[in-house]
Amino acid sequence: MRFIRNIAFDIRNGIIRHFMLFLLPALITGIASADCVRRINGYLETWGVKKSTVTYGDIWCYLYCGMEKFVPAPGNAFRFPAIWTILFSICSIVVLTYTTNDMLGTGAHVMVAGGSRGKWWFSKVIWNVLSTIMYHGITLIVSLIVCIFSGIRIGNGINVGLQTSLNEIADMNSTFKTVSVITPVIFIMPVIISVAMNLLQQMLTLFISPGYAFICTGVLMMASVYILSPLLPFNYAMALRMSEMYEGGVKHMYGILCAVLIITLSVTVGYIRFLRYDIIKKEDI
Amino acid sequence: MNGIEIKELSKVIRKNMVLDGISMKMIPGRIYGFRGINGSGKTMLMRCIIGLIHATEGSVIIDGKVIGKDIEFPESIGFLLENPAFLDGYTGLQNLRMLTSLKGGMSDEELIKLLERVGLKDAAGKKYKKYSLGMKQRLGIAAAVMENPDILVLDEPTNALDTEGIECVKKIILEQKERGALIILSCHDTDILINLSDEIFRLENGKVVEHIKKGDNEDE
Repeated sequence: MRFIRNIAFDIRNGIIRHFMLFLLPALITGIASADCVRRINGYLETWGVKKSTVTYGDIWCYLYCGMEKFVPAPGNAFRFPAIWTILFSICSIVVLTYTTNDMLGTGAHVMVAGGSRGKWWFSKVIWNVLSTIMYHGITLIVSLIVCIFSGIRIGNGINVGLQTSLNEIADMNSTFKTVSVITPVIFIMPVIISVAMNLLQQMLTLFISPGYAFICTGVLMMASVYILSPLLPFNYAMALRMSEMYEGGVKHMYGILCAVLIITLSVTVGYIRFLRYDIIKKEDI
Repeated sequence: MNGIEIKELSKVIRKNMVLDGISMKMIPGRIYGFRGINGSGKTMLMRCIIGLIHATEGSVIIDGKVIGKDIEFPESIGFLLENPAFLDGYTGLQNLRMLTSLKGGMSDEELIKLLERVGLKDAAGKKYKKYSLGMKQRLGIAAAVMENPDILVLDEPTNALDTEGIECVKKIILEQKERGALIILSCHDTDILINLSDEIFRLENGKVVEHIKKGDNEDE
């Protein structure tokens, strides 16, 4: 019962009372989706393509595609996936400081009243997962709204020509070769990876400051963008790096395994660490 | 509750010995005062008793149970550590309601009575962020004594309080003592500390350098 109360406290205090933070994904997605629609209209006009060939899948892909495999070569400049990076970075920021701030504030009372560090930690884990899902849920809803208002069909198809143009894809021989729809697994992978990486970040804040923890996940993100490797988790969060879309891409099964491993490790290591963690402000040391 | 026994308690943080071999026994119904300059280890000792930090060596035993080993936190404890921390967007009443709901809950009527006791009845519906420092301190004291805990840890409870506020806090502390609570108190105002405490420990560099019992003329 106390655990349920702990979770209720975190939902109320960490999500509802911080609803302003969750306006960030709405704002970013709203702007990015509107820009996507503008570019889609430009493409349709230029190439004389029917609007019916474009679906919501194209807007989703614009937000979550990331970038195709980068091959360093003369004339092939590194094209930074700005929207994708902003979406994931802001998500990390939204869940960055609540745990630390709470344990040094009201959360200390909640923890002592709950009688258990474990319950407090697991409550924060649940809060983190819910916040991340909510973040991506808002992204989904806002992009869907933009899609509906711009008269684009709701569907999971990808207009290959459009995406090639939008994402300036060079490797046409390998990209979009296998499928040209957003399959459920492609759709869900960014959320799973985001949950895993945010939990990793939460665990890291028990060892280093939240700022450094954010940098650590940021470095992993940048490394994933630069190098296509099954060992770099953010590769699984980029639609254009999935084997379903890119011939030499990463397999979603490995992505799920990778996420499960990171989640298990983060939650367990965090729990063990938190059992012996000194709750004390830096300035008091 | 039988009391608190602290055995050879030491705490090292980043190679600094913040508590150094502290031993003491405390029993219910008494007030234990802690004196010492900033950084002498008062707050660290309190944090150890609450269970917020772990001993490097030694132990804090409450009712035969070792903190951090047999239990994670004392079963019945109220505390106010340095600056009170509440939710800015909540009113004083909402903050207390939220805290009490975690343990079962006091009624709103009881909470209002409690706020009245600390002089915050009229500010019960005011948002915490609009409270003055003194009001925040009063709310912190209300939260600490809220459920009549067996152990009450008050670190500088008179901070930011006016004369009337200090008198109010003194009264509450004595009421809690009468009720049988074990009270651990630190206060920069020596007069208040001497006036309220049954025993006083003076800390210096994490060590107890002086232990005075009320009525004693000489150090133990």
